[in-house]
Amino acid sequence: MTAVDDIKARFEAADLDGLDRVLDSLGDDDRSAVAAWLGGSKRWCRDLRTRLYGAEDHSAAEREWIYHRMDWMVAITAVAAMAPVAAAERIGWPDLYDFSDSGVIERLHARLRARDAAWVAAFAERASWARDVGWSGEFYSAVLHQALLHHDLPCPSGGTFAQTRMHHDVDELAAEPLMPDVLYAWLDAGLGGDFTGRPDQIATLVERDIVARERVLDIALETLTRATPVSHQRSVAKTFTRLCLTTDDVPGGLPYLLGVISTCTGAVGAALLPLAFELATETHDVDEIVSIVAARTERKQKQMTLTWLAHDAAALGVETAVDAIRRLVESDDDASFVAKADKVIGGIAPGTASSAPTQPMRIGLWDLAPAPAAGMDQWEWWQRKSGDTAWLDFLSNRSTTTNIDAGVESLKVTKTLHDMSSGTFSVDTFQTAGLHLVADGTMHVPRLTRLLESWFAGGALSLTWDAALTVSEAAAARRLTGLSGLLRMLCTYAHECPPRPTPPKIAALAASGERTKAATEARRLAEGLGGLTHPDEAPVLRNLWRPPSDPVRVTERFRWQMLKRPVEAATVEHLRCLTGQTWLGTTPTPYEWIRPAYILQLVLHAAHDSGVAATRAAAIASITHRCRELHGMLFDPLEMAVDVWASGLLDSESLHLIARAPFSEADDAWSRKYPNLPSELVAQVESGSVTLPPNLGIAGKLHLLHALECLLLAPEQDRPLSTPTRSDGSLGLGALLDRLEEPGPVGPIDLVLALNRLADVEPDGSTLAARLDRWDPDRSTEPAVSGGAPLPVAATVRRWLDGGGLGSLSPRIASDHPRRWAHEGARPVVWTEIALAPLGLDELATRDRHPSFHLDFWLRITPGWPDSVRTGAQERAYPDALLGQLGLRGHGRPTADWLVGGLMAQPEAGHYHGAARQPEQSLTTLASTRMAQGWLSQDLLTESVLRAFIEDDVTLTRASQVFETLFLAGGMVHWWHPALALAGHACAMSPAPAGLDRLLTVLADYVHEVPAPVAIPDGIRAWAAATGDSRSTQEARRIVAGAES
Amino acid sequence: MSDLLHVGYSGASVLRPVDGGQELSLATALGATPTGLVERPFFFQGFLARPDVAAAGLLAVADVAATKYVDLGELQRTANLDPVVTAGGDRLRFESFSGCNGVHARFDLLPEGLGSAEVGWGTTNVDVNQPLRSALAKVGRTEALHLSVGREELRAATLEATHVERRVRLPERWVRGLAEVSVIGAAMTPALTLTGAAARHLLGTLSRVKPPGPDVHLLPTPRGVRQTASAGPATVPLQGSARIRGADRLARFVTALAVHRHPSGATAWLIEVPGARLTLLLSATPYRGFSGEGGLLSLLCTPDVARIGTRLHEHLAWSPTVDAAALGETTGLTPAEVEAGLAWLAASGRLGYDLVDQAWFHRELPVDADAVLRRNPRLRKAQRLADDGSVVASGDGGWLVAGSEESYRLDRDATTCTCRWTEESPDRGPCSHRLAVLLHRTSSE
Repeated sequence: MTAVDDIKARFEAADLDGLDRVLDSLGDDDRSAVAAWLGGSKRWCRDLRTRLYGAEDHSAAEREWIYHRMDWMVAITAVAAMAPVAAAERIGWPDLYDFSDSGVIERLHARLRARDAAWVAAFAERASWARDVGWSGEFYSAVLHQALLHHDLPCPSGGTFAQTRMHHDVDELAAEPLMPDVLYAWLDAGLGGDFTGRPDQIATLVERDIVARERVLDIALETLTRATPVSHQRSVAKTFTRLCLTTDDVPGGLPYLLGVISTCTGAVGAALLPLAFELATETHDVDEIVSIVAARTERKQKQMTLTWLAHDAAALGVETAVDAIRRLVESDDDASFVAKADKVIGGIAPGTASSAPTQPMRIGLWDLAPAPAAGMDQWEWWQRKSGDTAWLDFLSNRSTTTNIDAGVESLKVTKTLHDMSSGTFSVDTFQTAGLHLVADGTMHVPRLTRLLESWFAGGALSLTWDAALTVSEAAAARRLTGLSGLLRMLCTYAHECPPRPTPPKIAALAASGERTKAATEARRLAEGLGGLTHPDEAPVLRNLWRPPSDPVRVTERFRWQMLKRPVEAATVEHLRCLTGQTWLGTTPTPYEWIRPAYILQLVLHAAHDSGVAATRAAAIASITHRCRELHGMLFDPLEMAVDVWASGLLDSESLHLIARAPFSEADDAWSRKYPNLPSELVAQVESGSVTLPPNLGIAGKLHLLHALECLLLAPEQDRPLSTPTRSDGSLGLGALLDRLEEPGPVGPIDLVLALNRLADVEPDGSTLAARLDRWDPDRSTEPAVSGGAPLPVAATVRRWLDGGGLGSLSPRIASDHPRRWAHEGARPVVWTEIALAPLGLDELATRDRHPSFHLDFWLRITPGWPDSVRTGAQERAYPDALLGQLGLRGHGRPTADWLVGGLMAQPEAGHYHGAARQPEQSLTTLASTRMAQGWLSQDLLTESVLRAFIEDDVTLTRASQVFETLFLAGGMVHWWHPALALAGHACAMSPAPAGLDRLLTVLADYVHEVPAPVAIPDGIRAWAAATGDSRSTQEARRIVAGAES
Repeated sequence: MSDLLHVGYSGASVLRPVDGGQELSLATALGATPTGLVERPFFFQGFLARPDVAAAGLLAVADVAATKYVDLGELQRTANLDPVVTAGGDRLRFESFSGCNGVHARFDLLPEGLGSAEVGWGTTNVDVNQPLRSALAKVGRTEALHLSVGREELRAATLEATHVERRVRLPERWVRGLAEVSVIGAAMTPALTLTGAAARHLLGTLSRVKPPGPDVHLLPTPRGVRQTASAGPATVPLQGSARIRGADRLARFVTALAVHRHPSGATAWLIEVPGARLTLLLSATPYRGFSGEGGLLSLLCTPDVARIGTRLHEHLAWSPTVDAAALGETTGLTPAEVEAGLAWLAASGRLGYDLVDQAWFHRELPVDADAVLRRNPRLRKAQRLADDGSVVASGDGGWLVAGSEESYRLDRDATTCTCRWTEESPDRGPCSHRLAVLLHRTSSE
């Protein structure tokens, strides 16, 4: 047997001791042979590893051990037999990460100790440049470090090894035996960005004389001539500052500095510019510095250069300085900076003309039209991936549903331009969404700026210019972050467009005399648009008086996400993907409480399209898993139902068994069997004895039975009747009738639950109800799941409608216990008519809140629950945001008070509790939502507004700001009358309250949007007719004039 | 044949102080010259008009050679290559490709930047090592710089007197890339011109994020060039905008900037600096290397054109600008024939293209470029298909080519094919099936 064969045998046996013996006995020829074999043995080792790992006569632990032992055996053999560089290259450093036996690393150390210093030096040098050490950095570092110390060798030059010795603790770093070479090698490798504290550490080490300042600076300066990472460059710049870099430290002088400043990141420029200023003595030096800085985008460098030119103008020569300043701002479109430069020029050379830009020529963008784009398949891909097409998400700075990067932005632009070319894009939709976000304070202004500019460049300038001005005006009114950039961009394109009146808010900003960037850009934009609006000119009509689209309807986006995809794909695989995707957990909360209903619908869809067996087999685990993740509950009714169904145990008998099951005592099997609770129900069904977990509650039990009933009717029933169609969890009557007119079985619980979920406001309810006359009067609920007398379908629906639905839900507060509440609403169809319905459901609404309240509102079986909040019964349990979302059915006044209070009391409408997670549900939206639902009225809002003012809960100044926001956010049709009433009330007061002029100004600015006739309160008319010329009087006259024009 | 030339440099290139200034000696390797292959040829020595510009230009070319604008995982070994220099009688052209092969840089030291010194003829590699790069970064405007490309005194030295410092690498993908960029450049049209501060401002505002950077579209407006996210009727595409950072070294010297575009989306950035010019050619997308484009492969399969090209080759004479009309008069070929022959020469790696002069220039590579190009994987596959009888005429006058899994249908002139490559990469040259038909027809004639 040759030495190579012998070693192969040791490898195969994972025999470390045997390997050591063979290696110790190698002669020179054998060593050469082994080295040659090992150099080409990668495939052999890989095959062996696979074979050993799959061997059945090893335990799992042994296989794991053998698997990882192989790499150490290779390393030991390489060190024993190969040349140093070849050995360093042969060792798989990233794989030396898992050793259960410290003897392995010790054997490798012993082999390295046995080598001479020259061999180890060459080995370490090559190994120090290893490209990747993966998770094994600790062992890689230890192996080399110990070998170097043993042979008293210096630190090798490779950055990979040096990086592993760069401790984060400065004292540990100072104590490193290989210092200072290890730091020099690390720095030279361009790894300075590994830890933000490095510059401070280096300064400390210099102070302690552990590393040489000059050497550090030399290396750092040299690395900047190479392509090093930006993080390294930033770290180096900070190091320069910490070590007080001077011109004497820069061997290349000004040429070097100029080269580095022009090629490195801005932080380096900022650190080195003062040195360049110091070294610039000739005119061409100044020229080059200015050329470099002017071409860059960093504002700080430009400001530094301007300051330098202003300060050293005398030394440089006034003419040189002025010329340099002009070139510095030559291609700068920042009006604020240009104005600053002009001021500097005026200071150093009085009488010199300013550097105002000349009027540019038009290039004809206005006449272009967007062209259809190819590659829309990419858009479809992204849409499938994120399901997010909403403007609100795209332009919101609180968007959490999508990672909107440059690629996504580009796709959005391409898609919208494509739609514009085909006439399917609604600029109106964009404007509405934009105004909404601006009013909400959540507009991502830089993204809006890029979007608009891309539209303009893409040929859509004439289509979108007016909408862009409208949204920008709203942004100007709110002074959003990034406003100056938006106005600057608009100014760039203003000369391409036909003259437009400057929007009032932008004109006001321009005329304000402020010296902010935004005001400066507003002035430039006003000039670009053709000057400030003349008071006599007709105001711009922004079409703000229109009812908002129904915000409570479940959006297409949500339907698409939850329904369309799996239905279209018709495979359970898609269902699995759908339920397994993370967006289920990140979708904004408005839909959260209706999601279980939709997941149930998905299951039924899949069962219908792909068969019960396939759906059970492929999708259940992910559904039940996701449910648990989503709701964070120890048990979930839907999850439990799906589990029973998937087990194949669900039939009429087991449904009845569960329906009859009592709640168990608190401390029983249910509370001890987490996390396998759903399976526990399966086990109980199988044993024929079921008790339900106590915390499931009555409502939870209804949810469980409802899901079981629907699943029992699958696949003939492919959709529950009761799935909500609105995001508040309610169901439209038309949708319910449509569902009932489709063939298929009807479950009694599903039917009554659907009736309970019917929306309050159905303007065409009587028309819809006429459809019942055409129905088969003999059709009844499915006997197999009814458990008693079936309900006649048509008669039951008619009874509900004729009985007025849920009826009055006025709460009754117990006089003896103010924390107790109830309501007296009578249901035309009561739960007790259904044999399998859990007992106590009807009583839920009239007694103290049950602990399972969180299910109540999912199911809408206890409408009126938010009343408990008003009475304090569950004050802590219901956050304000939730209250606002659900509203108070039949109780507008408390809702109005709460909304008005929330709006008027907080400067930022979106900053109320929970808003950070619910960007779409700001109070502004909620107010409009409640109005659209009919749960609020203008009279109620007016009462609340006046009451808040009278009770000093709101000032007129604050109110004027809020009203303007609401107007721009699409709520003008709802909020105009409350605002006008407040103004009329305030005008009638004597003395006039503070802030009246501002409120009147807002009304005057928007009165032309209100359709005639406009009723003006007497108080305002009296002010308008009064003598005097106060601002309030003037604004009152503007209101009257606007109303009568 | 290895893709490496095994002739090394006589020594390292150095920048050293001399009386009154500095001397930059660029070491050369094996070179192609009018007298044939010469080891370590001498091309130039003289004082440069703008030392700082020349140093920055050399660094820019070296930067591109040392950069991977996309990380494809296996490119490390092909980065850090030495530039190729072509001496064209009145100018020096330094060229390199990025590690990803998607960026081609060429720095032309023009006659006005080279002073009155004579320039030789030929092409070779020059050594640009890290110490030299550090030294070049410190070259200023005012200090005189004497440049020598090759060392005259070494020409008399015996072979034994020289030593191989390190091997020179001129990989096949560079050879293929040089041929491709010439053909692509010749099909480009001007798209954008800027001067002075506007040019510098554009270069300064382009993305500095990690390469390749976002795709942007440039809209020239009277207030400067705006960057947008989407293409428009008047925009110029810039795919992988951080790839333009190779121009950073020269940004402060820029006097003018011109952008040319190719129908595929490739762009050329001509950056004018005092006495010199940097041309950056960017591939259509960051993930497309020039060596894989294959736009010239059909030319290599056309023997008639090859014969014309070979005939023209005899008259090129290392001209810095090839005069097509004069060539026509000399050879008696028609303008169309001359055009086709020059395209074949470019495809064979014997011509480069100058976008400013709108003309070819003669450049011989010190390798058997023809053989390298014929080793193109697509061409080899086509040859295999043609040789093993996979190409058969179909009954309708077209062709059928048997692929590994299915047969593909081509029209009579092999301009269309039903394979996926043709469908998915219509602008990346002919597929192997079309080439196979061309080769089959050639062998049958």
